Amino acid sequence: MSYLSLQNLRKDYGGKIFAVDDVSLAIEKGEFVTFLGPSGSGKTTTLMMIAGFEQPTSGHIALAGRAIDPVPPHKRNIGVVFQNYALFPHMSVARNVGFPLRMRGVPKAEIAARVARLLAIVELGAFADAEPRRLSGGQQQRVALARALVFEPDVLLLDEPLGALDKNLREQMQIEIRRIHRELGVTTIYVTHDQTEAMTMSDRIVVFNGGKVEQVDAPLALYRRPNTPFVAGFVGDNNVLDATHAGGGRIELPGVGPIAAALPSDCPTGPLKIALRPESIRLAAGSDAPAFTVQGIVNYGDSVVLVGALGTVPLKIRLPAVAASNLTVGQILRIEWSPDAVHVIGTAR
Amino acid sequence: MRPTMILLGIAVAVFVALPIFIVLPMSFSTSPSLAFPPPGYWLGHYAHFFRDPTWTGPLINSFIVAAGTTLLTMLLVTPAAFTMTRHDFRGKSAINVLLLTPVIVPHIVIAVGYFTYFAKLGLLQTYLGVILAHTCLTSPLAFLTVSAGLKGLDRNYERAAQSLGAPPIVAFFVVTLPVLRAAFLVSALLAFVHSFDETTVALFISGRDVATLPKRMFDAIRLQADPVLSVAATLLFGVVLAVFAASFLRKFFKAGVSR
Ligand SMILES: Nc1ncnc2c1ncn2[C@@H]1O[C@H](COP(=O)(O)OP(=O)(O)OP(=O)(O)O)[C@@H](O)[C@H]1O
Ligand SMILES: [Mg+2]
Repeated sequence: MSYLSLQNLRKDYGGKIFAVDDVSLAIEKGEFVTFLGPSGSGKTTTLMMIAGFEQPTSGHIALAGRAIDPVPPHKRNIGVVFQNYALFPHMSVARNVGFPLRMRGVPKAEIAARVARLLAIVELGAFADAEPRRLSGGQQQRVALARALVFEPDVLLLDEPLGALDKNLREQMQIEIRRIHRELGVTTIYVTHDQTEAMTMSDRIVVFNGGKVEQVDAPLALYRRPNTPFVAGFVGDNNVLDATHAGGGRIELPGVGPIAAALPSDCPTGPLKIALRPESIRLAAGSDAPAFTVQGIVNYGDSVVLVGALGTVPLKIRLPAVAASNLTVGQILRIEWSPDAVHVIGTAR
Repeated sequence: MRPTMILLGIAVAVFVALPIFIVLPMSFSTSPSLAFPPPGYWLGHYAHFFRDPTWTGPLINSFIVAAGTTLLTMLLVTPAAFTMTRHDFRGKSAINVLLLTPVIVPHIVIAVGYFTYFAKLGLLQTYLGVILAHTCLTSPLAFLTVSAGLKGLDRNYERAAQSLGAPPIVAFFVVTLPVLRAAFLVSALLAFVHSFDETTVALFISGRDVATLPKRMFDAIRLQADPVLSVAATLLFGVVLAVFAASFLRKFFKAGVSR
């Protein structure tokens, strides 16, 4: 049995669809798991049910082999970091961090020592006596982190903790959070709707959509082998194309004809969806390769994205900047890709 | 536009403040009747006021009633405000209207109602009776003030406190109350002041035993134009002023300290 398990969780707020719809997850001790999904997909609601602030309409949650459904939030021993930090404005930084220890009746001297240790870990030792509102956003975030960790919670929940920070600070804090996770080894669930953040930080990513879990996988597996068209489109830039498999390993695009693809042996025949990463497409030398019409050019500095069409099928191509100099809109290019760049959505390979 | 606004402001201020500037000098007057302007000044009426138990008694009664009302109001209004802001349930809007009826119903109607009802319960001329009736009057405003505070409060404060190990009631006293102390303070002060100078209901049910200051003043003016009345009026105003000044100074002092 896994450390934290969610069994068929459902939350009905009375809306058109369930806020959380039949979510089951198994999270191992010490894992860093990210909930990734668009706005309103049920990430926060799931987190709030784990923390105990929302009661599931149905389903169960177990922690370390014990059902925690009837356990109130203050007895769950789960640390929560909120997007807006929720630092207590009437307490100093040290008193904020010491709060959970005071609630647990820890002796004064020990509180002082543990608070000092945590403040050192988040590199805020010099700010112990400061008022929280005098700190910068990143510093406040680290205080919130220290406060949620000082009582050695069984699980740490972070709900878009970096949402309010600017890009540079975000990246710095991402590294910081990973470092702290390595140092303390606490089982962590991290909520974000930023897929790069999810890719760089997580052991595993849980993709939410419309209250349901679309896929649970390691970042690279998720990137390479999306299980559903939604995941294929949401994680990284991607071409999700309609195709048909007539049998015999030949895939055809409507209006284009057969294309190069290495199909898995379990590939079903009939209509299917394939994913083809823009960066896996190259310019071809020969003149018998598929023809791509350039309709738009977006320059990213290090790379260039060409928006256009392969026959009648809209397609995006990402080329290194050096390969894409002196291209113009309207130009017709010959393109190619390695057969195993084609991923048939829903198959294992 | 601007000068007219200022003039209008001054006119309103004078109109509002004028009675005070009549009553205040009269309380220091040497005249044996309520005459304005006073022929001379002394503290004789004050000495008279504080030596006369039929005046000091009601003053003390007013404090007791106001304190009791404030306490009871806050005890009732706080959980009500939490329930109404935090939960959705059937009949919520009906309850909301019900909570605010004391504002809509004329005081004199409430007073008559309590007079007949409390007579049956033996609550006429008791502290408890006056406190209960006053609480009914002070609750709507206190409820609205606390609710407004709670609505503006980020729920994550309480959630954070609970996730960190504070049971809900502890989270309330250690986090919610301090964070919202301004809203709680304001509603408590308003309740105190409202009860302290409430007249209509007090006239009907406080009787002689627990007569409040406004009730005693009303009795006095019916019998004769005793200048001690102006002392009572000044004291009444002074207490109300002091309550608000205290809260203002506290804020001022706080702001000064944290700078
Ligand atoms: N208290 C509530 N009452 C009613 N509906 C709610 C409540 N909380 C959330 N919802 C609904 O449940 C759905 C899921 O919301 P949730 O906050 O879990 O999404 P999310 O994935 O965290 O989104 P975001 O990225 O915007 O934070 C949404 O449709 C939302 O409108
Ligand atoms: Mg959310």
